[in-house]
Amino acid sequence: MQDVITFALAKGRLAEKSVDILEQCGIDCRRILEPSRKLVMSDASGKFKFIFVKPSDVPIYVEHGVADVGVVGKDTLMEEDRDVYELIDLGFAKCRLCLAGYKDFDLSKPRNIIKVATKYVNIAKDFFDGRGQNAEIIPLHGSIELGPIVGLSDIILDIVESGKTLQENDLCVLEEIVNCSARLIINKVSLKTKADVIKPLVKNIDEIIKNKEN
Amino acid sequence: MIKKFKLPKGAQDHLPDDCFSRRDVESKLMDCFKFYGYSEIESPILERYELFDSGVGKVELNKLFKVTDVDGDLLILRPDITMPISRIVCTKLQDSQRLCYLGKSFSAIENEGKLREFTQAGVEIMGEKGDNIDVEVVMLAIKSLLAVGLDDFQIELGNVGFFKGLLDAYDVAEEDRDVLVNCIESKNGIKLYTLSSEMDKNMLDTLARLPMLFGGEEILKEAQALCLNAQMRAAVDNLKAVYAGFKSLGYEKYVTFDMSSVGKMKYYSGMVMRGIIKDLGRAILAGGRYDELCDAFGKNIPAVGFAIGIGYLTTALDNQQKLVKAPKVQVVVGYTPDNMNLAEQKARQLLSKGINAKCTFATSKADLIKVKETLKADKGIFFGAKEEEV
Repeated sequence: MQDVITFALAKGRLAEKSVDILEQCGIDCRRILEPSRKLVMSDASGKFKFIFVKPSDVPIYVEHGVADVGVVGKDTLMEEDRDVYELIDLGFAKCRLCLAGYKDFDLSKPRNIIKVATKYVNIAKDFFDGRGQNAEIIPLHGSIELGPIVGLSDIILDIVESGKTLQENDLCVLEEIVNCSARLIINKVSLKTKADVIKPLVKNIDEIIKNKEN
Repeated sequence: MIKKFKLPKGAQDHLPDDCFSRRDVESKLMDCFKFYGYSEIESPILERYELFDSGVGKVELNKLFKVTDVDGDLLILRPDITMPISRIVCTKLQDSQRLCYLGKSFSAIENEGKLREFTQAGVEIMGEKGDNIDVEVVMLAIKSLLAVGLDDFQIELGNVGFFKGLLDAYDVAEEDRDVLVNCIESKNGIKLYTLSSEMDKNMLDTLARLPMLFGGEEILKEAQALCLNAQMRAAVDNLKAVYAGFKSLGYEKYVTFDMSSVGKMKYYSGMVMRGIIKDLGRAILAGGRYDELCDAFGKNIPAVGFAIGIGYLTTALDNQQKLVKAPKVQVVVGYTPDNMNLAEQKARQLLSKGINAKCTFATSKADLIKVKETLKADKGIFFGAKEEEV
């Protein structure tokens, strides 16, 4: 009997794009996108199980092995820093992780301390530690752009896609930290113990992504 | 929250049922180690900081659980038992040893389910080297997991010489190695290509193949084709010889390979191993060869060993419904002051017949009934003026 492979996905665009790729791999799972409050669903064959979790929890489920495979943005993966295999750059959900603020804010100016509002507390800490800049990290869960506007912080660290939200709030990108996109992550034990299913699947997905790029 | 009710982060109580199962697993492991000729050794939980501060055995300061001694010295709650054993062998014993241990280790960083205080059972073969010794230690790993009742595990073998040799072949600078180790450890082929453009393209292409270079014996042939120098060839030859050893013993079905193994501990110098099982997303066993660890003590003693995480192992057994649970108390024998010997005799007699019997002091039948309820026993036998069932 084939082992059931469990996917951890976040509802929304990441899940939609993931289903597109899995369908191309011959996994009949379109139905998991139907509106529903179910947290656990299966593909048509029952060989693949899908659990829907919060984006930032995807790496946690995979690290613990309760999900074998997950799809997660590189930004989340960096922030969570979990012990998983990061096998494939899926190429979608592209964005940039940036420092942003008012355009006259001079990042290079020496400061005693810089106040940074962000969802990415760990990334922010590592980044400013790496520069030897003292930083007060202010954790927020949404509407990060408000930070400089209401004077809560000097700048923000956030993902930027089109840059429209920044623009409409008179903010701009001050510095790009890293380019992000969706990643296929795999539990370190599952890759080996369920290799007969996961290894070909990984190869399949890799080929699909490479064909798309060319 | 009232602080006195709270445990420190990463600490855990073990309630009676849990303790019973853990002791069962631990004693089966230790019995197995001892049967194969390993003597038990114990080192203190407290060590001096200096032990972990230099050489290949250096542990990052933030990972160490630090305690200040009354005189201001920095002490460490040991992060593992391998380093203390090396210290003992180098300073107090002759070079050749087969040792086993069971004990607690500590980590300052807690991480979700990972505890800061955890129990490990393990072995070290000191002063012996060669493919057959590597076979011996992996074989013991297999035997010990079989001894606790697991049978569908894999022992995944690698050899850090393969990866180190590859980096040497391309003269990779020391400061770049950590990044590459990190990429390979997380099987992150993507990141490799985003690294400094100064790195050799051929090397990156070879490195990019490593993440998927795992599986059965056939992987070794593929690995052989990638060898660029003697170190890489020696690594593959070692794994081939180890595999041949297992074939001759008829245990090759437990062994798989991962050529991208870099080993969690920096001190690994040759073969590395990891025990994995389907029902747990974590390795239950880890180890390898660490021929240079004793250099820190001015001695050259080759060594190899592994440790089993008791917490992970019991979870894996529990997931497979193979964990031995505390048996129900069937009979509790109570005695009044005059009848202690009689009652103990009775309890022993019952035990020898395979009946789980306990013995207790009880001045009256009512006393015994209370104990019977506490122990959730099926039946009580009271030795007062006469033998009575309650």
